[in-house]
Amino acid sequence: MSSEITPRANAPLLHLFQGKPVRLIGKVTEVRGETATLDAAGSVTVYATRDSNFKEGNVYEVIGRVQPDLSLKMLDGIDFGTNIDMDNANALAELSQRHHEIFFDK
Amino acid sequence: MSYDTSYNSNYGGAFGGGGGGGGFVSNNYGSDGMSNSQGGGDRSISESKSRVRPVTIKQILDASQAHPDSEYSVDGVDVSTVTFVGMVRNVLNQTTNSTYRIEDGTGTIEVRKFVSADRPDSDRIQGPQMGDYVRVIGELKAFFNNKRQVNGNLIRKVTDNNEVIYAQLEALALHLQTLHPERQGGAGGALEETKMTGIQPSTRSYTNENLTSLQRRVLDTLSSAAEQASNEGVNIHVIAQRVGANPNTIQEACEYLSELGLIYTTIDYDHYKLT
Repeated sequence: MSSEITPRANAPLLHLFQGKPVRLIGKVTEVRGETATLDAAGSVTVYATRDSNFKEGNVYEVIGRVQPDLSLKMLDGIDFGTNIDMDNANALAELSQRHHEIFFDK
Repeated sequence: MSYDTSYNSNYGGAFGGGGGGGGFVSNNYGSDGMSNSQGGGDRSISESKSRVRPVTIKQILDASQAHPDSEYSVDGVDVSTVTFVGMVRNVLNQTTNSTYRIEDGTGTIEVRKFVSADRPDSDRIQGPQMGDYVRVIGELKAFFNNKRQVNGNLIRKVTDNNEVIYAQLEALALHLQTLHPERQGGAGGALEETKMTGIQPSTRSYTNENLTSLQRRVLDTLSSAAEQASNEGVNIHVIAQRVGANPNTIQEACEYLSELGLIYTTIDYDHYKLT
């Protein structure tokens, strides 16, 4: 998994990566059992791994595979805390689409 | 943004406050035989004067080389010292060095860090662990069969995760600036783009309503200053004189603008230039 390329995505970009792994930075708005909802310029459902302890209000970077319904099956994740500039995170996701040459091959 | 963002600087200087850095000069190209395979063992420390280029790992993997002994080239510019932020995926501790496998979503590369001879254990205990995001500054090397590796001069844990995002935005800004230097004489091109997507704009036409009028006047003064062409840039007291304000308030304005990436310090903290 870790040697795979994980393009940066947010909610509006997920449809471009169905079946592929992505890196998504989002703020947890709801946790229900092993499912979390993240806000990443739109709402994203994340099917968490067993040991992921999502905290509501915190920002996470999730590495996950995009499912057909545009939810994310989480492979890995890291707690980014609460003090993250989401405008920057979303800008990076969008810009890495437009200038993918330094981020991933299309 | 806690590392030195002035790419012209001798990165040795950028280490000053890094803590625990002292060992890298003596250990880097020591007699451990590491570098001999490529005949690079005698490279002198004078090369550390080279610019530190922010990159993505993909850019390192895509970097071209005119011939096996020449410098790597990224976007047509020679690069020997690079910096990036990535996640540690594996750590291999050996007698003289630790090798970290690091990925940033764009690719994976090995970073080798030589162990300080006098305190090998503390280096390792405090060193980065698997799953940590780290800032790397190091030199690009090729080994047998063109396998690329970075000799890490600095590997430090990222404490503010905004740096993970910022590092790639910075690599992109530099990439665009290198490809399109004609766009507003530099950072403008990349920053125009970031502006369109709503990121904190760092634009040359400082219409940024978030700036105070004093900060705008500082920018105007810098852009019209003849000293802008020199390496030192403009002294704070000169700015203060031209703006007609107290040097202390100018200092504060400069620090803020520097955090935004609009200007940077040059020879010391009293001299600034536009990015």
